[in-house]
Amino acid sequence: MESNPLVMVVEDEKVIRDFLAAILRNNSYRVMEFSTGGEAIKQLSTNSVDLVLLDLGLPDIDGLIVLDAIRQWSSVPIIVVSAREHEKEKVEALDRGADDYVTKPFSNAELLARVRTAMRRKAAGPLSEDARPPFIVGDMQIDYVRRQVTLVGEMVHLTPNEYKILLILSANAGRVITHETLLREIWGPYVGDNQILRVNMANIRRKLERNPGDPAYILTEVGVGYRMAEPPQENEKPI
Amino acid sequence: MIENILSVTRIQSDEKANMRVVKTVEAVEEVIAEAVAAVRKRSPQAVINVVPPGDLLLVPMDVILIMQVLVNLLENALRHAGRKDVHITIGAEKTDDGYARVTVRDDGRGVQEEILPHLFEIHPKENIRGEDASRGLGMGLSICKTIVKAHGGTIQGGNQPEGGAVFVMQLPLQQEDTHGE
Repeated sequence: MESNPLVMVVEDEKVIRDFLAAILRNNSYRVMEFSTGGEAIKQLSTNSVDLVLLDLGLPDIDGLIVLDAIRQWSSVPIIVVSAREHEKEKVEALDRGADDYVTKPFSNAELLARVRTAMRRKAAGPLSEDARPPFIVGDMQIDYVRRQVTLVGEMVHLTPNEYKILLILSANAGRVITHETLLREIWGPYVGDNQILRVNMANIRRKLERNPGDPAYILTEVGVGYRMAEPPQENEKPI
Repeated sequence: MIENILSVTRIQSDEKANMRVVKTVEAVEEVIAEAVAAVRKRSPQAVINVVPPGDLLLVPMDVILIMQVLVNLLENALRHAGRKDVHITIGAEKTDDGYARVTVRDDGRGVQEEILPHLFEIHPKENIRGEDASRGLGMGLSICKTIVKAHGGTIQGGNQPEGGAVFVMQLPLQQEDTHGE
């Protein structure tokens, strides 16, 4: 019998730690709780942890240092817990190998969705583009084999770069992808200008979204990046 | 509420540095969408209609602060409308003199005439409506104005002839001949 996934919660504020642990336990995850980064790093090496929820404002070590320490030897999914106004910190955490973040205040549903997405990423592994089944969310479908995007069955005409943006976001649906990552992947390392991405995104939204001002498919994470809406999952419970 | 206090901290630390805010070039439609999403998250029953954007409007801004202004305006509309089924409309357009104009309208009871001249000055302790003081809303609008001014913009509030409140924020568009940070 396979045991339920083990989540390590690293958070110094007891109220928030209890809250996180309660949500996870109620959804049949096993939970280990830590209030310091040092103890968490020590325990991570001796336990088979499936996911780490890491608050960045820890009393003993900077959360980003904890992240670095874990990433030196482990690829365990890490979700960072952060406050809304700390958008630079989020970008920094994602750059250093965090899988995603949740912004305080967050709902139970939001937290659980992030956890499931991060775990799935680990389970799924890379899949070649040609072998990937079509991505379907709402009325939009991306056919990776034909490299076609349709909206209610109608072909959507995208530029090659617009298609690449959709490709990256849909392959990571549910996860935030930073502006920097998209810029680097599509325009290379020397484009220091965010605007080209803003313009492309505005065009994509005008082609895909019913109301580009109130998007349903590509959501903005202000100051950080973009997140593609996830298709509904068949198995919403862990295990 | 917690975010309001955080914004104060952020803007006050800016005030020491001559009110300078760290700006990046942002798409107004994205900031509006994110603010609307944040309000819907906290008030799932809210009916907010976003006017579909025309041209892409790019504005240099501290995006978290401007988002906070929009969240404040939307939440004010929800709380002060005097009715539960208030409809809010938010949209942005380009002005002829180089500004992005964001308008937030509602079909509520509007702003009391005697409050109008002091809309952006109300100190929480002097707040006219007791219920609002406890929620820190009076504080909200004066912070909004501080934030908008720090961006070289303007913010105004009033009532629509057909009823309901309207708030208009204008922020300078990015200059055509310069590039983003």
